[in-house]
Formats: sequence, structure tokens, C-alpha cells
Amino acid sequence: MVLERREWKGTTGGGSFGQKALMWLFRHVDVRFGYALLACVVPFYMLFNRKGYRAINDYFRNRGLKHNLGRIYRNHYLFGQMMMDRFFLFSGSKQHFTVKGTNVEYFNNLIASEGGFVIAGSHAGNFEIAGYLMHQEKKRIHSVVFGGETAILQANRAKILSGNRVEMIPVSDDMSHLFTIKAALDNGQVVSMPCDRKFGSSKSVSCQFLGRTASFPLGAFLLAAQLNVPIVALFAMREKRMTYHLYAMQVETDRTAVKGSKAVAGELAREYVQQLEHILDIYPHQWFNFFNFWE
Amino acid sequence: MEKSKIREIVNNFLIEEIEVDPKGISDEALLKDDLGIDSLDFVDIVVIVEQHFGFKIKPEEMSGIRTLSQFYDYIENKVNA
Repeated sequence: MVLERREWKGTTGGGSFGQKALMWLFRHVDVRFGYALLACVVPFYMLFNRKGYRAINDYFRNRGLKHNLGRIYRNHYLFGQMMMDRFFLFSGSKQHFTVKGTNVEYFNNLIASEGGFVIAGSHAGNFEIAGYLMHQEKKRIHSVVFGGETAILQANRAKILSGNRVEMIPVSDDMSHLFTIKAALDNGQVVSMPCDRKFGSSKSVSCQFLGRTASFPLGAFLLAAQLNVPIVALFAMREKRMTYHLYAMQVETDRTAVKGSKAVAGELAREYVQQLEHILDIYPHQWFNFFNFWE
Repeated sequence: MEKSKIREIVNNFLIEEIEVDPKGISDEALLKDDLGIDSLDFVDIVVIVEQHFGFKIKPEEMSGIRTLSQFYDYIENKVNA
């Protein structure tokens, strides 16, 4: 089976009306009502979004699992559930999720330090929710976002996350975002970037991921290497009973063992991919890249 | 600092760090289209310029720079200002 396109096109599904409607809905009803609706909608999504269906089937096949409707349903359902959780939080609802953490003290130590650092995000679990659930007062977190999402989503996200000292840096053609990123890291602040979708730069590295070769963007790793700052992988994975489990993992390599920032970035990327695999071993249904990921 | 020294330093880091093909280096070479320098390379350039020439590049100053020759001139003006 040949899949048409391997690269994410830079937009997230759903129009502004749908996003606005979801936020309105969750101001008035419990998110679990949304889950019940979702359970009915997912089969149609699986039926009509064949590209996403095939991509997830491909992912499970790479994990050595045969085609199974229930497994793909669970993946799609979890994706929808986590999107709803996001809108539920963005709607300003007071209801709280239970939050657990693993190695969060490493993240907290970085926050407490004077220097800046990079957060490597991915579409395993719900990275964006991590920014909302990890309360901290000391550093400003600059989240690099692509301009493809609707204005309403960006505006609401910025409004909600600003309470957690999270600000958005949209990727721009004139490269001004890079100066903002560099200034933030130079000033001891934090920059978060998605590390599993190529967009805005052609720089990438091929890594063995779940037994096959996949291309990962070098951006976050290059920045960490160029500016000599730490990089931490952050994952927010959903568990039962409205619980999110946050994982902070140090992404590091011997930076003196190889020469040049690109070589260091490549090593950091490979280390990160191993951590991503580890997380997906624990939460195999929470991979949400609905395009053909592998080369 | 003399322009020849600036050229030498810039060309060296373009070849060593940015992995630009030495054959493509010429005064008229376009940074983006001919040398293939993309936005992330630009961070390297900013860092290296700071280290070698001791000044910070301002984004607005870079907006008009398209060719390598313009880049040498920009550095020369900043260093010798």
C-alpha cells in the first residue's frame, strides 16, 4: 500500500466554528458528555478519513500488530478524547484532571536554574496539555507554533496558556521567530517545539523508529546544540479516570564526542526517538500522527 | 578588521559549520537560493558571528541582505563602526 504524502501540511483539522462550538459546549456541559458523543462519531471518522486510518494501521503494523478495527478505534477515540480535554481546559472549565508525574523533578530543576532550555514535544499523548498542567511561576515558556491553525484556536490557546506563563511564537517566513527563540534562550527562558513533524525548515535526520526509517525534524535539537542549552522531552499521556501522566526525560549526549552542531543535533534526535519509542511502548494507542510517517 | 579576514572567517564557518559547498561560494551567491542557507542555519550564523566578531545581529538589519557580498559588507560595517 502506498500512502500519498508523508509530510504534515501544517494545519490541524477542524474549522473555527467547530472549535468555538466545542468551547461553548464545555462551558455548559461536562466533558464526559462529549466523550459519549465521540464514541458515536469515531466510526464515521474511521470510515471517511481513510488516510488517517491507513496511517494508524501502518503505525500498529510497525509495532508488529495485525490489522484490528478495535485498536484503531481506540486510537481515534483517545485522540478525540484528548482534543476534547484540551478544549475543555481552554473553555475555562473549573473541573480538574488528576495529574501524575514521572521525573518531573528534572523539569522543575531546569525551571529553577538560571539558564534557558528547550522542551521537545511530540504528537504522542497531548503535549499541549502538559503546558497547561505543569504549573510554574519562574520562567516564561515560548511555544513555537505553526501558522496553520485557526485564529480562534490560537487566540484562545494564548489566552488560557498565558496564565501558565506560556506564550506563542508563530513560525514566520522572515525568520524573526528565530531571533525571538534565541533571545528567549539567552535570557534563561524556555522554548518548546514539536519534534515529530517537519515544518518551516527542511533540516531533518533519519532515525530508526519502531523498526523502520523515519525522518525527524532537527529544529529543536539544532537549537539546543547551537546555543548549548539542555533539552527535555515532555509527554502528557492519558490514563483512565481523567488522569494525565506527565513524563519529563532528559535528552542528552556527549556533546564533545562529535564535531559541529548538526552532528550533536543528530545524536540528540536519536536519543529523543528512543525515548519516544519508550513512551509508546507504555501507551501504544497514543500516537497521533495521522499521515504516513515512515520513509 | 580587514575585509579579506572577514571573508576568510565567514567562508570557513559556512563550509565547516553550515556545510555549504565551497564551489558555490562567490560574492554574488544568494544566501538562501544558492547556498541553501535556511532559517535554522541562520541561528548558527548568528551564534558564530557573535563569537567571532563580537556583536549581536539584529533581525531588522538582516532583512535586506540577500547575497554573500552584502553579508561581508554588513559584518565589515558593524566590526569597523
